[in-house]
Formats: sequence, structure tokens, C-alpha cells
Amino acid sequence: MTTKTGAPKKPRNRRKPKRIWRLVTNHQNMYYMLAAGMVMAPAGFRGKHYSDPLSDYPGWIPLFRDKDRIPSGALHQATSERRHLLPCIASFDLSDLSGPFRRLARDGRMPDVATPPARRKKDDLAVLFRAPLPLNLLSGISFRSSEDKQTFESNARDVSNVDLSPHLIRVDESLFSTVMYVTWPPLQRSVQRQGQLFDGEDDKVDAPPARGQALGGVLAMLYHTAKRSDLGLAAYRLVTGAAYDKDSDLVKGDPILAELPNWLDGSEISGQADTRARLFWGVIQSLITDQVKERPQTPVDVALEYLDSQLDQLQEMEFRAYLERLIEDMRSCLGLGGGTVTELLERHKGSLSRPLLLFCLREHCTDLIEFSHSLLGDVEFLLAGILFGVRDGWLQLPRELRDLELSAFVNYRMADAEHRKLSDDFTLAERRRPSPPVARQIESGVHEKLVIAQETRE
Amino acid sequence: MPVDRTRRFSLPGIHDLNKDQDEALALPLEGQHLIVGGPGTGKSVVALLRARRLAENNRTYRTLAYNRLLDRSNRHLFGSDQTFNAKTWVAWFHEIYKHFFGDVPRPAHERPEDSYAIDWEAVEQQVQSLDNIEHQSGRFLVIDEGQDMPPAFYRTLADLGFENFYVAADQNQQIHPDKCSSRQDIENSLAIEPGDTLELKINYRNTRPVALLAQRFYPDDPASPKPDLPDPKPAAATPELWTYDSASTATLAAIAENILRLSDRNPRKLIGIITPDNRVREKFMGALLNANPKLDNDKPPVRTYVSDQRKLPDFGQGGIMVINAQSCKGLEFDTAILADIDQHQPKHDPHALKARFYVMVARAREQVILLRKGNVCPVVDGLLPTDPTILVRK
Repeated sequence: MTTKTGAPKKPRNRRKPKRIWRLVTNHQNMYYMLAAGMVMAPAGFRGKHYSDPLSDYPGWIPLFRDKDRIPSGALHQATSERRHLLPCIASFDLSDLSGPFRRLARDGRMPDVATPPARRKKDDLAVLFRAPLPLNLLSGISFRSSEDKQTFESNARDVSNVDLSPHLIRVDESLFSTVMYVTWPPLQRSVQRQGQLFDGEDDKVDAPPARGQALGGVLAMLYHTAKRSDLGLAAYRLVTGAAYDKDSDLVKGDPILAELPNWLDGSEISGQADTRARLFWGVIQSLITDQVKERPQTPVDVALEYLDSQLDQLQEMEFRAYLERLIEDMRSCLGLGGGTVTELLERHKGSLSRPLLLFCLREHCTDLIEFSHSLLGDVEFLLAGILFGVRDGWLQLPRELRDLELSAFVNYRMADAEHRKLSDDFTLAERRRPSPPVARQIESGVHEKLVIAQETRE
Repeated sequence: MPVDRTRRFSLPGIHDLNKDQDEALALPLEGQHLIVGGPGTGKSVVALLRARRLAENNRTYRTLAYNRLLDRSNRHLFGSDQTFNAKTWVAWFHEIYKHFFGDVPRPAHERPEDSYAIDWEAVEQQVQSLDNIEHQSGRFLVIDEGQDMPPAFYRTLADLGFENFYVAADQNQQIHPDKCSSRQDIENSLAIEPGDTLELKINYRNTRPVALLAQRFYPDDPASPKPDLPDPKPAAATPELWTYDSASTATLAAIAENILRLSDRNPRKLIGIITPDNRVREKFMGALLNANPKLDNDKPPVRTYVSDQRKLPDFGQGGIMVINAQSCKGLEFDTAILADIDQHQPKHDPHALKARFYVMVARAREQVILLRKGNVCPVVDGLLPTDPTILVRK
């Protein structure tokens, strides 16, 4: 391509300029958000949120423009709850993001905007973005001193599910010292504190991101189990939007697994779904609904309670007797009764009962990944993975199960699912679909063959 | 091929640690720190995480446990990715004493054969006679179950120049109350302001159903606050009470087979059978060794421990461990089975009996099973909850 003068035209840099916005918090909240893969409303921290500016607008995330000074009150608030808290500032690049934003003016007014405003108005203090914000937009974490940074890095090694390796962690003393002395939160918010933030919205936005977390757990389990079977790979490709026709056919081969795309979309399961599919996805929904409660129950109890509640509604007497036996064995295998795993799997065949039995026999995703039994079919294992993924959520997955590409992809999908639930107009470029381990092996195998062929030719 | 029974070491998740534990972990490496809390509140977890951090920071540290069994159990909980510098407090104190005085400490007059019985009066006099005491500011001590060491132990270490202490303790769980340290003793010896002692208040180890049962046995003592209930954990089950060896119930042989099947269903889990005395311990060992039910894997290892046993059981492997109640304090099992509950003493002291049940129940991470024969003891029966949502009678 040439220009009018004949000189070669420079390729246009299509990348938008970075728009950095800052979240003021403390190091403990930062760990939790890194583990959860999202910036959440306080309710998402399940009782472990330390007061910070997220507390002021429950369900909304106050973000400060990078060129502006941080209000001293926000910094103070972030470390006010306990002596050991270290202030930290997380920077996010919001250049690709549009969604539920509001400007926050110094007098507390909060007009609606679709994207973070490029130009600052005179009385702008911050923007509010409706939670959650995906962590893959995080561009850095700043600390006041090298001691604080070192403590943050060192203490992260005490826990299993915080991975700092993909993140830029730096010291920027000026961010913490050159502050702005304005009232934080703005006065109008103090007056509103007792009431609702926006008409009718507070209740629905300050809730744990249970669906997003469940989706994150399921995506991770499908990613890690894709290598076990063709069906696993097909299911993974289907949920990540890269399915071939045959993948869809394979997944549709089982009436329970066939409903997976509907669940991922947040839709109801199809009207023609059979009883087993209705029960399985009913358990999944019960587990998610329970996570939103202030005092959730034990997941196994939630599953058993749901199945119990369905007994009376079953029309087919034969199926009812089958479900009664399953519930009894699920209960007994947790205690001193119950047989061996083989006996249990022989007594209960099929893609509803075996995943549910495994749900009682093993605790976490890592336990399931290393479990194998000759009686367990591919579809049963996959459905067990879905149950385990929902139970652990993304939050509980250890570092070993969080690949870099997988994390970026899952963070985006989790936030997208939560915003869909809120009917938000959330737009962000989708992250690249990570290749599951088996695909990488195949790809690298192909590559090796090509290299060998090339070397032979040479 | 034999099944892999290796118990996986795993660090807690950020969501597992509560705010009080965060604070306990954030205490500076230097200085004197006391963390108190009831059984299952995660004292040992924060103590072991502290030891890991000292190791990471290349500090000279030592973790002290009360006895060899606890030391052994801690080694599994610490993980194998770092070197664990640990000893029993008595063995370590003998070393230190020898370093300063070239000899071992004099045994107490009344029990000369007992290495734990040290003549502390003589030790303290000896320490007072030292002219120049070198500072020990570069050495760090992490002490688990710190209530079981005598007050003179702490005073002596402070006098010998030790400055850095991280002590986890529970006044409700003293092995020998007359020779143990109260919270105040430790605070006084280490010059810790009472307001600086951290209290862990939330049950960390147990599932919610296990913690609910444990609460029924809580011996009220303001020195260690009653733990709050934990959040639900994944696969939790309601504790069970089984009766055996009566006309209409299972035999001991059938119970032993069920225990082996329970272990077989999850070979990496460690089941602790806690017995009231040696007679019951041997009875259960015999029943388990004789039982041969059909299993998926090879028969789980059945181990036992009695005090003064030279070879210590392996906490890093799943299977079954049969121990007496006196040895169970500070240990952790995936499932705790309390055998022959009506045989526990002292029946004339319901407070002490309750405390014993509290300690035994709190050993379980996931499940508690109580076993009794037909001969019900009314005192024990009176302690058991009747609510089937807390304890299911089978």
C-alpha cells in the first residue's frame, strides 16, 4: 500500500492509548481479589473484607484517575481496620472497557457514563464501575516502600491460591505522599449511607459473585480434564467457543452434558430435558444460590437437601426409588456405613448418580483430577468435574491449576457472566482462548514433526 | 500395585485464614508474641506458617513441641519443601543448658528417671550465677502448645538472653495443670502486655458439623475464648453415634470392617481411633488386624502409639492410627473415631470429662464417629446432644 506521494504508508497503531485508573485498598484485600480473579463488592469477600473505599459504594468500585492525586481519606480508610494492613494501589488499564460507569463528583453526585471519561471535569473525584472488574485488566500494584512490597511478596507464599508471578509489583512512594485533601467519601454519600445508593440497586449488586466464581471453577476443570478424553476436549472447545460440529454432537450424546451450553449462557435448561438433567442442573443451581446466602450450608448438604426436595415431585415411581437409594448411599459414604468405591459405582450407574457420589467421596478439584476408577466413564468424570468446579469456584483453586492464559480468559468470562446477570452493557475484548494441555501436546507434536521433516530435507 | 497413600500437604487458601489469623501472621519476626485460642482455632497453623517464614528469611529458628508425637505430626503439617528445624522442648532445653553450663540440668528429686521433670529451682539459681550472658537476639523460637511448658522454662530462657518468641497456647488444654503455664504466666515471663496477646476465636480446623458437636463439650474458661463456628467446608457430614456388640447391633468385627472400608474409600486420609485406655486400644488393634473385608485397594496400614514407644507413627501416610486419649492432644486427623466413649474417666468430674471430649472431638478435620457398647454410662450420656442434626444415632 502506498500514499499519494508514493512513500510506503506506516501501519497505523490501532492500540488505544492506555487509560489507567487506580483502586485504593490494602494488601490483604489485594490477596483476596487476586485469588478471586476479580475486584468485587465487599460481600464477595465472605466476611473477610477489610474496610477500604469499596465499603463506601457497595457493589461499585471507586477508581481514581492516574493523573490525579489520591484522596488522603481513601488511603487512611484502607488501613483503618487493623494495624498490620499495608496500603496499596492497584492500577487498571480501562482503555478497552465500556460498561456501567458513573462519574463521582466532589459533591457526591454520580451521573451515568458509558466509559471512563477521557477528559477530567473540574469537580471530578473518581469514577465508579459496577462490580466486578476482571483482574486481567490489572496493570500493576504499587506500594509505599520497598519494605511493604517485600512483605506483600513474602506473605503471599503463606497461601495456596495467590499467584503474584504475572503481576508487576512496584514501589511508588509519591503516590502515597502526594495526596489530595478532600472529603472521602464525598459528603452526599455519607448522607446516603443509610439508604440505597441508586434506586433499587443496592440489594442486587452487593452480593457474592457466586455465578461468576462457579463458572470460573467449571472452565478451569474443563481445561484441566480436556486431556483425559475426546469428549473432554470436545466439551472444552464447546465452552470456549471453538467447537467443531463433531464436538457438539459428542456433547449432545449425553442428556445431562447436552445442557452445558445452556447453563453457560445463563439460560434455563431446555424444556425437553429429561429428569436426570433437570436434577443435575438443579443441584448446580442450588449450590450457586446457596453461596449468595449470608450463612451458606455445606455443599453436600445443599445437594442432598435439593435432591430430597425433588423426591415428592417425581412422577415415575421407579425413578423415585432409584433416587432414594442414591440419596441414602450419598449420606452413608460420608460416615461409617457405605461400601467400597467399586461397590458404590456398581450399585449406581449413569451420569447423574456417579458424579454425585464422587461429590461426596472427594473434597476438592485437585482430589478429583488425580482420581481414577475403571468403572468411571468419560461423561461421568466430566460431569463430576463440573460439580467440583462449582463447589470450589475459581477462588479456591491452588496456584498449580491457574495457568497464565487460563487465568486471563477465566477472569474475563467470570466478570462477563456477573454483568450479564445484572443486565449490564459490559464490553471488553475477549481474551485469547487458552489451549488445554492436550492441545498443546498435539500442537508441539505437530511442530516437532515439521522440524524433523525440514531437517530431513536439508 | 499398592495405592499411593501419601497425605498431600497444602497451604491454606487466602479465604481459609480469618482476620485474627492474618494478624497473628503479620506480627513482626522479632519480639515476644503470644497467640491463644481453643482447640481447632488454627494456633498450630499460624505457628507453622511463622516457622516457614523464618526459614524463608534464613533466620536461625527452632520450633518446639511438647512431645515427640506432636513434633512428628508437625513435620507433616509443615510440608517437605523446606527444612523444618524442630525438637521437643525438653531435648532442646538439655542442649541449651549444656551449651551454657557444660552439663545436663539436674532432674527433679521426686522423679529422677523422668527427663521432663527438671529441677527448675536449681536451673534458675544456676542461671542467676552467670556473669556475662551473650545476647540471643539472632535466634528465634516458635513454641506450639506453649501452655504445657512450665513458667520457669520461659523465665530461664528470658534470663539466658532469648528475645524472640512466638508462642501458641491454650490454657484449656494443659497436660499437667500444676506444672503448666497459664496465659498470665507466659505474659509475665516474656514481658508481654496483656492487651498484646492475640486471641484466635474462630474454629479453623473442623467442619461446621464437627464444630457444632465440639461446642457441646466446651469447658468455659475465659483465658481461652470459646471458638466461633467455622464457615461450611466442602464435604461435611453430621457426626455419628454407633452402638455395637449388643443383641440388635453390629459386632465389633463388623465395625472394624466398616472402618477399613472407610479408609479404603479415601486412602490418603488418616483416621484416628481415640481410645479411653490401653485395654480398649488393644481390643481395637486386634479387631482391625483380624478383619479382612473385600476392599478396592490393599489393606490400609493400622498403626498404634503408646507413650515411650521408640518408633513413631507416620503422619504423612493415610490409614488408621489407634491411640489413647492422653496422647491425642494437638494432633489432627481427617476422621476421628472415639471408641468406647462410656469408658472415659473421670466420671466423678463432669467438667474434666467434658474437656476431654472437647479435645477428642476437635481432633477431626472432617468427620467424628462415636462408638459405644450397650452398657451406657449415664454421666457420658448426659453430655451427648440429643438433637439429631448435631449427632445422628445409627
